[in-house]
Amino acid sequence: MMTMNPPVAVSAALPRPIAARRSAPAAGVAALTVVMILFFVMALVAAYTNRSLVFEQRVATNSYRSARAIESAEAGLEWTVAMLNGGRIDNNCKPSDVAADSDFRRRYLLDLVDPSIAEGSYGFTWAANPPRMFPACITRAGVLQCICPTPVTRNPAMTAEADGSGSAFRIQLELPGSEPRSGLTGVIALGCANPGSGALSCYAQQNTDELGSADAAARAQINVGLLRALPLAPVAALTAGGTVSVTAGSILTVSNSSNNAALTVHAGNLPLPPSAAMALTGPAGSASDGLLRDSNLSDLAAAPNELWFSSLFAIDPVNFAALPATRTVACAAGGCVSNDLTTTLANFPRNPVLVAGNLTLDGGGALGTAADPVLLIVRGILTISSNVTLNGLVQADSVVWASPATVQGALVTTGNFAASTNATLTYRQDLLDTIRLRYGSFLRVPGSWKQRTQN
Amino acid sequence: MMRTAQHLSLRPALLLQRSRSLGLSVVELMIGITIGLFILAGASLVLTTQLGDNRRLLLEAQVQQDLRATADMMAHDIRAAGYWAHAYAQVWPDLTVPFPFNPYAAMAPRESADGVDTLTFSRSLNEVAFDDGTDDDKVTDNEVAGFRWNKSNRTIDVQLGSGNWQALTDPAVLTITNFNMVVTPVDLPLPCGATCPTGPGPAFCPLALSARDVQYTISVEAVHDSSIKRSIGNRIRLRNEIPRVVCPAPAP
Repeated sequence: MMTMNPPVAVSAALPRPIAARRSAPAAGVAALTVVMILFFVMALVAAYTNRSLVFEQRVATNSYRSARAIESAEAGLEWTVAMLNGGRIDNNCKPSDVAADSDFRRRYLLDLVDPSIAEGSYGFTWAANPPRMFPACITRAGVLQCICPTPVTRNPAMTAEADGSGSAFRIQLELPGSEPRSGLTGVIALGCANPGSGALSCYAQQNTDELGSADAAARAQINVGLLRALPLAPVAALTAGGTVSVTAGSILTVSNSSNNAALTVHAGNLPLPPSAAMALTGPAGSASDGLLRDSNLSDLAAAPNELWFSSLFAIDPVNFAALPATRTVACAAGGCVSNDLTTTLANFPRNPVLVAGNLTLDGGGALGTAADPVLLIVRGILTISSNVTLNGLVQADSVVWASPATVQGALVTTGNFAASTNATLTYRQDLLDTIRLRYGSFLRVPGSWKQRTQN
Repeated sequence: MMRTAQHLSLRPALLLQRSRSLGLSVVELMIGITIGLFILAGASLVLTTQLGDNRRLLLEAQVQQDLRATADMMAHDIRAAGYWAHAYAQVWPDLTVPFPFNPYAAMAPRESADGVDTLTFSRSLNEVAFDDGTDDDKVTDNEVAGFRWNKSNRTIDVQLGSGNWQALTDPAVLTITNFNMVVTPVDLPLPCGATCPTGPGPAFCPLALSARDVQYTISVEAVHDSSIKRSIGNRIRLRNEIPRVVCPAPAP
């Protein structure tokens, strides 16, 4: 029984576990260190084997940046074409109704009138006010933020995203073939994958090949040409496809001092008004009063497919309305009145205005100025019921003249001209030249696109 | 009795201590070697797989890179086809001379049994610095460019000047197994005042703007590993449209 005494056996077995426990801490630290080193080596091996993945990602990023830069440059070209056909803008290129704000076209393009240079040529406004100006934009979260500098405000406020994201483009206008040409300008767009910052940013107002912090850049260029709204001005102060009539007691006063276009009244149909009802004055030195009855006009007025309109504007009315510079004024059922035109004429001083219906001019004052004459096309009957002064060219289906108004420029009607009161029309070559050479839509010239590698 | 019992209970422990210090037994050695071999075999397998994967990855990256660069170069060059430094001559032309047409308008895709395998085009290059006015309005040899599938060499070739073809892809790295190109011209009618002799009005306007789309697909295979196959496709709208006279056929 004594041999089975457990306490003695336990007390004898005690020293070994205690010894093992004492030696354990040192062995654990070594194992941990070795394991950590192994893990580190494994991580290095994993990173090494994945280097091709890292490389691929870099390649993909570069490809993405390059695509962004090219697309930004393309967007810049499209934006410029759109802006050239727009109305008044502020310094951030947004539509403006402030009379002091000019439109994009006249902000940068200078109408050259030097007879030694091709007719209708453009120069640049900074020729007189150096240095050059560069309209530019940043896209932030899909929204364009732009600057359109002026000689007064050369660096309008522009803030890029704090993290430097967003595409950008800068526009540089150039002379095509390095000299002024009729109705033409060259556009170079610098597109950047990100805006960059400071003096070398993508939107900086200087011409530099250095791009600072922009990741990728691409340049594309096009020429834009003016598709004229009125390629040939009418030769008479009053052109009517139908008859010209004046009620008894009223006087139709028409004068034309232009030697190039010596007609006063150009009518398609007989009868002409009696001499007593007209006071016609041709150019100085000319014996003719400039009155002409021309059956070709009545034939043209009667021809199908809007041939009258196409002959005057060299394009059919549907496509004319669709051109980017044309502003169409929609009319209520009863037709448009003067007030419907006010905003359009004020904000788009040099755009052709198409009234889609009858128009009654019931407000006084003047439409258009000598500097910015109107090109007003009425797709219906034009009724003049107020003492208005029309500066520019007006085309209508027919004209009802019920108030002693004045036209400075030319009046064209497909049908009849019926005056029930005094009417005064003066042919103004200068106003018609402005319309003929400067009005219309700027469009991309086919065959002019290329990518550039430098400025 | 107590001492005897104590003595007896200690003996096994002492025996054990003594046997541990005797070294490795044959059985232990065998087990150790076996485990070691297993681990070594596993590690070798992992290493081999790793090296193979790595080689394949590098090869894939190289093929991908070559393919992407080729497709990008083609897109870049084809996009600018038809560029004419004197394109502005079409705006407000002098009507006393014949209307100027773009001399670089022609684009010649060549059909083979497998579809279009060669595309030749041209663009203005005769310019001095920024002066576009020095172009001679003629397609000179250096202004001709193009791409083709060289079936004997199994490469994509680029034409740098008339008749001067050079391989764009590296035949030591990849072979072109298929090349497919479709050129789609679309005549966009232009509004204008003039009419064709067939009838009046906008529907008979003689001028059209010819827009051209080029779509291509390149399929390749790595030279050193035929299991690596890649293909890339691209569709490009040429930026330079060509105005041309298109009159509808007169009604019978």
